[in-house]
Amino acid sequence: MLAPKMFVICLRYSKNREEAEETLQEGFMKVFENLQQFKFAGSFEGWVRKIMVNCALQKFRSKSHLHAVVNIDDVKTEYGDTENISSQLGTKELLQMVQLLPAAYRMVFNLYVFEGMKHREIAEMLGISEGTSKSNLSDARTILKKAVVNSAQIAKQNIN
Amino acid sequence: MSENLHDIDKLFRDSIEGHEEMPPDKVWDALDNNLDKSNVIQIKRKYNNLKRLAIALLLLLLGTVIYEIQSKKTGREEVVNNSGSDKNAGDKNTTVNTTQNGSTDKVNEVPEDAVKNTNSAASGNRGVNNAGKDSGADADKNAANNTIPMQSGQKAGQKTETELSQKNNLKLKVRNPKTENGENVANENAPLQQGNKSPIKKSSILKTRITIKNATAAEGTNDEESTAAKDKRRNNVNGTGLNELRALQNEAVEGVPVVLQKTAMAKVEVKRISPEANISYTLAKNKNSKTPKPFHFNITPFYAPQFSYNRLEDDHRDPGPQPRNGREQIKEDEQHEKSSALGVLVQLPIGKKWSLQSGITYLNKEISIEPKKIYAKLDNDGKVKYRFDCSSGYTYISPKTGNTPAVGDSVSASASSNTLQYIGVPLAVNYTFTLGKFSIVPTAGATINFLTRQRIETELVQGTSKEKQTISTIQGLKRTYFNAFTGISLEYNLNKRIALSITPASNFALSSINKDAAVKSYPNSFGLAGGIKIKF
Repeated sequence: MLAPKMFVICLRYSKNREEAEETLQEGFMKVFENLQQFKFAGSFEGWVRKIMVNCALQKFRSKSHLHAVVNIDDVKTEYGDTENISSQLGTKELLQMVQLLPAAYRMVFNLYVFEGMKHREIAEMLGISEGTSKSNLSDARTILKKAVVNSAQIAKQNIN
Repeated sequence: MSENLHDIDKLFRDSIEGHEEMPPDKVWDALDNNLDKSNVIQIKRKYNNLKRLAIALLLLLLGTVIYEIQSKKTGREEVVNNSGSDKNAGDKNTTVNTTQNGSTDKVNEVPEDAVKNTNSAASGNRGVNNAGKDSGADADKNAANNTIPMQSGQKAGQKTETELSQKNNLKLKVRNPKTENGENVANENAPLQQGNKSPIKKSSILKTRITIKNATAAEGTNDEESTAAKDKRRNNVNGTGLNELRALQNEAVEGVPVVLQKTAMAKVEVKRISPEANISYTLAKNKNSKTPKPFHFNITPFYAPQFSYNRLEDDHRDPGPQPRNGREQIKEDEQHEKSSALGVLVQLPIGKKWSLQSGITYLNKEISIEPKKIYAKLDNDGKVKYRFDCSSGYTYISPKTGNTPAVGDSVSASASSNTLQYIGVPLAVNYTFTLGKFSIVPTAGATINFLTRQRIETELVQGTSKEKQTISTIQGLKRTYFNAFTGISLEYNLNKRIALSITPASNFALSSINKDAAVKSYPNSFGLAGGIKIKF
C-alpha cells in the first residue's frame, strides 16, 4: 500500500529507475528488520518515509566520492535533449528532471523542497557547509527552471 | 506555465508529491529472497545456542557417567575385599581355635551372660532375631552372641573360643556343627541327639564339602583333639577360599527350609542349621554395610583476578591489514589488559583421591588501546569507512558527522577500549592430597568458551570535533574458543562442610579467538582464584 508512494520518493532521490529500485528494496528490508522499533509515536507512513530517505542518503554518501564536478551548462544541454515531452509538463517529466539533476543538487533540492528541511539541517546531514547547501539549491532551481522552459518550448513546437 | 516558474519548488512539490508509481515485481522478489536469507541466519543463530547447550549437557553427562561407573566399580571392590578379609580371618581363627582345643582340653567356666544367652537364644532362629533387633551392634557382635548359646549348650564353652568368635563369625561354620554333634549328647536329651545324627547325615543340604565334614565329625569320636586335628587338616588341605564361603552362604540359606520339611525333628534341626543361617545373615549384613558411599559433591563459587596477555600471530589469510596495523603495532598498542573470572565449580569424586570438576565460568576482559590513527578503506560492502584493527578483530567505523572519507584518509582514534565477555564450561581432573586440615589439589583441564559480548569503544578526533563510537560487532571474532588450564588449589578445611580455597592457575589458549583478521590472538593468563568450597 505504501510501496507506490515510497517508490516515488526513491525515484526522486535516485538518478534512474534501477537505483530507485535498489533504494526501495534496501529501505523495505530495514523496515521489516526494524519493525519492532516502531513505537507508534507518529504515523507509520512517516516512519517508513524517513527510512527511505535515510537509505537514499546513505547510498548517496557511499557513492559521493565518485561524483564528478558538474558544469551547469552541460546539464542544460542534457535537458535540451529530453524526449517525450507532451503538450503539458507531466509529473513523470518533472520527476525525470529531478532525477537528472547532479546527485548533490538532487539531494539538497529533495531535502529542502519535499522534506521541508532547513539548510542547517541539510548541511549537517550531508556533511557540507550551510553555504554549499544554499548554493546547491540555487543551482538546482536554475537547472530545473531551464529544463522546464525548454520542455515547454519543445511541447509547443510539437503542438504547432 | 510561466507563472509556475516563479515558484519552481511549489511546481515540483505539488506535481510530484501526490504521484504514485508501482514498483516492479522484481523488487518484491528480491525482498522476499533477502528476508528469507535473514530468517535463515536467525535460525542458524538459534541452533548455535542449542549447540552450545548440547555441548554443555554432554560434558555434564560425561562427567556423571564416569562418576557412576567409577563409584560402582569402587563399591564392588570393597565387597570383594570384605569377603577376602573374612576368609583370612576365618582361616586364622579356625587354626588357633583347633590348636587350643587340641592342647587344652580344660573346661572353662561359662560366663554368666553366655548362660543367659543360652536361655534366651537357645535356638539359632532366635539368635537371628536377636541379631535383627540389635541394629546398633555390628555384625561380628551379633555373630558372637549367637555363638555363645551354642557353646554354652555344649558341655563347656571355651572362653578363648568366645573371644575369638567375637572377632569373626566364620569360625562357626566349622566349630558349631562339630561340637554340637560331638557333644550335645551330654547336654541335650538323648532321643533328640539320636534323631539329630541321621537327618544331618542324610539331609540333602549336607552335600557340600563343609556340611559333609560336619556330618563326618558328628559320626566321629567325641574326642575334641582328634576332631580339631581333622578340622585343621581339612582347613589346610582345602582352605577356606572365597568360593567355599559363597557355597556355604548359599547352601545355608537354601538349606533351612529343606531341612525343616524333611526332618521330623524340626526343632532340633533348626538349632543345628541356625548357626549357618546366622553366618549367612551376618555375611549379608556385612555386604549391606559396605554398600557404595552416598552421593556427595563439592560446590565452589570463586572469583579470580587475572593477569592476561595475548599471544599474537600474523593471520596470512587476511588480505586486508595494512602494515601499520600488523602484529607488532597491535602488540605495542595493547599492553594494558584487565581481566577477571568468576563462576561456580562442581567437583564430583571418581575415586578416593580423584575427582572430576565442571561448572560454569564468566570471563570479562577489557583491553585498553593506545591512541592511534586509523585509515579509510573499502569495507566488505564496498563502502569507504575507517578500519579499526585490534587484537580481537577489526571493524569499520563511519563517522556520523563530516564528509564521507576517501580511501586512504585517516582519522585519530583515541581512548579506545575493547571488551570481550565469555561464558565457559570447564572440565578438569583433580587429585587431592590431604595434610591435616589442609588439602592440596592439583588440577588440569580444558574449557570451552562461548562469546557473549563484544564491544569496541573509541573516540574519533577530526580537527576539534570529537565523536564517540561504540561498535558491538567485531569482524573476525569467533563465537567459541578453547583453552586449557592447570593450577594447584590450596584448601583449608574450616569444618566438615566448608573449606577456603586459593588457587593459582594458568590458562593458555588452545585455539585462537579470531580468524581472518589482522592477527590471530591466543589469550593466555595467570590468575589467583579465591573461593569457598561447600561439601554436600
